[in-house]
Amino acid sequence: MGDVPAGKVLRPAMTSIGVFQILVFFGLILAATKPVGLFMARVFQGERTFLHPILRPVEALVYRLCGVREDQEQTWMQYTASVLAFSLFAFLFPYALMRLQGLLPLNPQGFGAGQVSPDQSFNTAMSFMTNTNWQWYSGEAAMSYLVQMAALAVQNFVSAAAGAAVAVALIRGFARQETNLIGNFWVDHTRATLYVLLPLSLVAALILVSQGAIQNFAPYSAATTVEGATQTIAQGPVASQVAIKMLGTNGGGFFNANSSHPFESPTGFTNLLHMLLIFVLGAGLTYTFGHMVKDPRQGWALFWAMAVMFLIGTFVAYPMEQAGNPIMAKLGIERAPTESQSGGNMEGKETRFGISASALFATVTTDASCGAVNSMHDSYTPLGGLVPLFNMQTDEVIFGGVGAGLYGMLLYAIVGVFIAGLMVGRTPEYIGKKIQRKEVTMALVAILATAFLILVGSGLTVLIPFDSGSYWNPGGPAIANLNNAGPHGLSEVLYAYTSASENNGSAFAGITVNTPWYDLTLGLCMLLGRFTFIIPALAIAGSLASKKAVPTSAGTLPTHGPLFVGLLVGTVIVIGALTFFPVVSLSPIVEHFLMHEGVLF
Amino acid sequence: MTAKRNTTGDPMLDLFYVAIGVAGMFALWALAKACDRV
Repeated sequence: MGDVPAGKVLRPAMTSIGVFQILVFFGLILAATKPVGLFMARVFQGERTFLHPILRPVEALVYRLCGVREDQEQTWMQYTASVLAFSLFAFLFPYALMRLQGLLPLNPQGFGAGQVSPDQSFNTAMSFMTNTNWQWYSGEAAMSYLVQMAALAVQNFVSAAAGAAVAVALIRGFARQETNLIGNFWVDHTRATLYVLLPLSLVAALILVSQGAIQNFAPYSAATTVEGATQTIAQGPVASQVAIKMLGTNGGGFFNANSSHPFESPTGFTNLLHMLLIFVLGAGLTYTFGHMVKDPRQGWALFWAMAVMFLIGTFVAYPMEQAGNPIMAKLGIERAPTESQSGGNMEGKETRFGISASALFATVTTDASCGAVNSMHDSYTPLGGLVPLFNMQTDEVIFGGVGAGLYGMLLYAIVGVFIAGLMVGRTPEYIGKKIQRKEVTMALVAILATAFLILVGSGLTVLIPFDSGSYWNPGGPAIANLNNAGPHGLSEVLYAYTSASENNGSAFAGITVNTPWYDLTLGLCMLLGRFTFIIPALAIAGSLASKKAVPTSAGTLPTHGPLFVGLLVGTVIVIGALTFFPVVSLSPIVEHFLMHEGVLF
Repeated sequence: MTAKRNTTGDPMLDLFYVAIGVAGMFALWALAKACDRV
């Protein structure tokens, strides 16, 4: 770019360096999928790995202390009971810690129960128990170090491990025959935490520290700015929490600014690392699936279906953001990239990362159920913001949350082969198992339940009138909490209920959700959104495990080739579009057309 | 409800929200049993 004079337009939309960054990221995920997936397959099948000399004694000790019999497997109902019992504790313990933080140690700022009211504690406990990490609060202004570590960071590990355990149980459903046993939740959960999440987070945290992320227990520092004002600089055990919040696809930032904060992500390299951590386990689990069902091609088919949707989303969001707002162009403001500035829509984006790495991050964090952000999605162009919204509404099956992406995609695969079976008039099969009424009913319960929560939650919030000064929403009607009117305001409400119901946790922002109405209803959406997927997935696991494998015949639909990849992508997109097109046409889509007419909100 | 929010002194509010969480988990268990019957 050296010969180009400042101010000269280099590219009309995307830049080559922007596209290169996206392709490098995808190449790294592709390269990591097989080794990571193979390692997880060995872990979950109880085979020896290079970590066993160190961690096997710890694993055995955990079982002894908790009274778990490693060799005792569970039926799907027993597995579900274990997941729910564990999750109940994972709700109550953080709730108590938050409400009692003023009486507990590691609290140099003296935060008390006043910082975390009952509705706020309910919302946060649900949020972290369900791997959502929706945050009504700024961590640095509300939570003690003990709460950040013992409640929130611990939940980052165990909620991700619960998702991985459910995915592995569903894989066993496909892999096994004529049994009612799908594994032991406590064993799967322990192995996911000990062998996968802990070692990788430790390495990631050390890399983050090497790049400048902080890790301390110091009280907040006071600095004098160049204007002479005093600025408080928050401190804390940041790197350890950030590593697992990305790897576990949790997304809850130590700081309010999340992954755009220089103490969470100090460099461009850590920005790349954050994104890799989000995808690496979700991508790896596709290979784990193929390996455990003894046909790696089946896993790769899932991987490529996810990859196709990831690339579509990225290459919609990025050019939209790089194109920017046409009204700026009409005002004579340069919006194309030049040698001296990035062009496009930089509002709400971190200048260290730029447009492509921000649009990529927004796509990745909503493909997966992560929800960490390095830019403000509320400031995206309407169609740029539609990509994260639609990613979540299609149940975050694009690599997805740890485990949640795989079991979500497998439910769509069941629906896909069912539709294909209807078209050709044969009983559908998938991975050698007949797909019958129970599997299809369960898959549709899961897919429709989250759609119901999103649409009903948003609808009620838009319609219910609260009195000004009421307990539930002191500011009056819940839409009084919006910062923007018109379709953009609707996007803000829709995004909030989508993010909660799909356990993402990213915020469109532009909406004050810190009221009892939002805390309660969004908390309930997180709870129901999480488990109305997990319970049907486990029911399918139990049903499939009890079946006999069907030998492949001439009439079997191959589920390892491009045809199936296309069928799966089509199923996900068509179901998402049919369900949500009416509401997104009233929000980001109409906003896009109005923006081109010169109307902003 | 007329309760005040940011206070440590209203155990009924704590009870209310904890009860909703616990009831939610039991409702999900009922869903699991319903799925078992499908």
